[in-house]
Amino acid sequence: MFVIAIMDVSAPRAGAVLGLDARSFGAFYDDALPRIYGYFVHRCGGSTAVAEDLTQETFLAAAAELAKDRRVTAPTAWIHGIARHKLLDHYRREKRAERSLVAAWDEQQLEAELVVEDSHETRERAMAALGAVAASQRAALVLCYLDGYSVAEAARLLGKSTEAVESLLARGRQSFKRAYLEESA
Amino acid sequence: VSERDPVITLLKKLDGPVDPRPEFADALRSQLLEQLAQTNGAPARHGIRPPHRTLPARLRRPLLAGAAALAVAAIVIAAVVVSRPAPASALDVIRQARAAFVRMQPFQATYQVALNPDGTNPNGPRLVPKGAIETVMVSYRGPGRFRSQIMAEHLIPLTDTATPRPGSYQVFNGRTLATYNSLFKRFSASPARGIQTLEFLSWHGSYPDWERVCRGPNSKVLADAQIAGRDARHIRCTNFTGESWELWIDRRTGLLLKIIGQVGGDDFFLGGGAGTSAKGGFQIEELRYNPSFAAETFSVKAPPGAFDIQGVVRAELATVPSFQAVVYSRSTGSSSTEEVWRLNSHTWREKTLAGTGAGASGAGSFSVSGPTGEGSYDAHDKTYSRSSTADAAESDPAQSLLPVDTTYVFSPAECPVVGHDRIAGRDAVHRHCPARRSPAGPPIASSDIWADSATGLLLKYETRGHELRVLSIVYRPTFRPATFRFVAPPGSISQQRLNQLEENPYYKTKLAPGKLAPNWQATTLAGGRFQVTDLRGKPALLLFVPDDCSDPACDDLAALERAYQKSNHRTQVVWVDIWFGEKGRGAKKVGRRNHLTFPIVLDHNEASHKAWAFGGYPFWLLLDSRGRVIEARFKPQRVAQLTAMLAERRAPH
Repeated sequence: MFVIAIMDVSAPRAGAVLGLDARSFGAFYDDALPRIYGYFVHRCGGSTAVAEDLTQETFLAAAAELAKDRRVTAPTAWIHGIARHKLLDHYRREKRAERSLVAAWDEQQLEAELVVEDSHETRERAMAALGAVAASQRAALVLCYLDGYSVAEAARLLGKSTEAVESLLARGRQSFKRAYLEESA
Repeated sequence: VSERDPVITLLKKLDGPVDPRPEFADALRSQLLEQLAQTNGAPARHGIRPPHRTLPARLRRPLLAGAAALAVAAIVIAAVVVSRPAPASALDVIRQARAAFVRMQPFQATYQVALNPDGTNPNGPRLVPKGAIETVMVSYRGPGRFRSQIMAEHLIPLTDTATPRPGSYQVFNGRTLATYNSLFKRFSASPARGIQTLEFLSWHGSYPDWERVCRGPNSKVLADAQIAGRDARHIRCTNFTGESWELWIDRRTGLLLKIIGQVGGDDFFLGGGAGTSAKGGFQIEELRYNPSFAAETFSVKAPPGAFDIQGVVRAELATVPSFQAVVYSRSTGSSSTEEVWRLNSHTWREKTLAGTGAGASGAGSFSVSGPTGEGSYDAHDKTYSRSSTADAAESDPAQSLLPVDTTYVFSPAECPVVGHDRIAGRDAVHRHCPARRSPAGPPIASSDIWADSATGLLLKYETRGHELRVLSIVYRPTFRPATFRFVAPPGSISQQRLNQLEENPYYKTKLAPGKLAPNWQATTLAGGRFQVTDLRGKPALLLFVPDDCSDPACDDLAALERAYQKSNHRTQVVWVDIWFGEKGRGAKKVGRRNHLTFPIVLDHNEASHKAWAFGGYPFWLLLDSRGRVIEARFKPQRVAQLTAMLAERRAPH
């Protein structure tokens, strides 16, 4: 089958802790899928196409790992780790594409205040606003404010200095605020 | 940063599970279980087999036809996957160089650029004669400090005023980009934050796209060499259309030391269009890492004796009184009438009352700059965008009424007063500037200007092909409070929202899943007639992409051909060349090089776009055997993406 052809699957092996039989993986998949898909859709500006691609890549990578006798003791954390790597790879690709578009957003302090309401609309706006932030800044915002990493940890993940990440956070907050206000206009 | 910060509060809302589309979830589940079953040697669908459903008789045939189409197309895609070449090691060298360049130390390099050693430069022998050479010094001190200066030249003709001569330079200090033209001693500086310096040398240039080029099947690593006293990796990259580049890269720093192949001249400040021929390229003659830069190397101040255009314009703009005016302007091919409200360089509003031609905004479009920011509205597609006020002064509409930014033409000494007139209720001084020779390029046409005798602003300007007329002007008017506040018109959408909508490949098209694709006709490369209805009887995968292969989708054509052969033509594959020149010569070349046997359609008259109105390319369309749309996608599709598309469509059946 062509589906198998793209997996680059090595010789069949058996026996990962997560359970390579179809039933247990199916249960894990049912539980993890909305979390992983939600993780991506929120962090990619609400684009379902991107979220689906990244979700698929994540689960395919997970399955490939399991096929290599990978022993997984904390499946949820494990698959979130894979998802995070996929997301950062995606941001890096985006960053390359938008390099010339990182315009004069930096260092412009906004005076308008954000009004935070607990509504579906607010979430939609925030999602769109995050999607509008430059990829490198978005990566810093997601890692530090959404995923709960320290600046130092985020710096390590992004391959940047802590100062660079702090700068990305500062600019990212401004960009996010500006985009959110635009969405609210 | 406090957790009570509203930005963080908003971001925190972006978490929690979201259910994907059931079709996607089911297709991915099947795919994963198949994979795991393969590795375990167990049947794939045990335990998750979906409940058996009986289709209503009226749905069976169309669904079976769709399923068959997908299955066959899946085989095609599978073969594409299997036959995709492994990443070339030349690509690894490029990636290593790009990674190394991030840590690039300061350097100063003198490059000799051979623009046209073989006489085949695409700009032609008039602009770039055979044997033309430029010598350029590049000074680099991190991403925020850069200077490129023309040091010498050989056989470069004086064809236009924009061609930089020896002594001309471009410099960037992290905030401002400045250029100096040594021929006219003209200096110009403007804010340019966020620009990428050394885009080409840092391996981020748009052409060539090394990620694509060096993935080509004939790319290879050659024996190391010594260039300018440095150990160099030596690679040859050949893309899918046969274009080739040979590169020598500093092993330690990732700096490109020498290249043979067609490249642009952006990093070297060679002027518009001054790229090299395919046999041309450049080589470092002298290279110093961590040099001692002269103090003025990265200065963005005008050199002594230079005419600072931007400085003069800024000074003039500062003296312009507030005004409200209606201005008509005409340029070759377009004309427009704008109403302008202007308080100062940072506070203004401009609205298009009428516009015709390609370069003009649509009537109703407007831009505003004010204390709350800058915004613009495009009446054509009903979109708006906002930005910071950082560049508002650069767009000050009063600039078009200054006779300063073209002072070279309007020099009072060369443009004597010939009369006085009344224009828009104002006294106007009429000057005539006779035609004259230019030190470079064609002669400058004669022109007439009428300037307001009180303020000096242009009231009328005429020269060959251009006209400007102030229809009305009132100085120091009273502006309404809302004049300089941007408010998006009702029914408009933000540019960002439009971008999101355009992610949908069906947006504004005449295509819909399950619906018959409208017919259109074109000719094939072989000279035959093609129409969409000819495809009926078998499923068909159509790819719309131009033949210049500027798009990565082009790279998969050879693999697509192999897949097409392997499938015994059970799925039709059609490449529709949507942008081509010279009777499809590019398509012919690509087809020959990749041994394509499936039809290549030359869409001369944009028939496909007119009939289907798809908004971008590459555009992929999968049709079933009855000519109905199964799925459309645009943008380059990775094989995994196409696989997902096919898998999710197959699952419900």
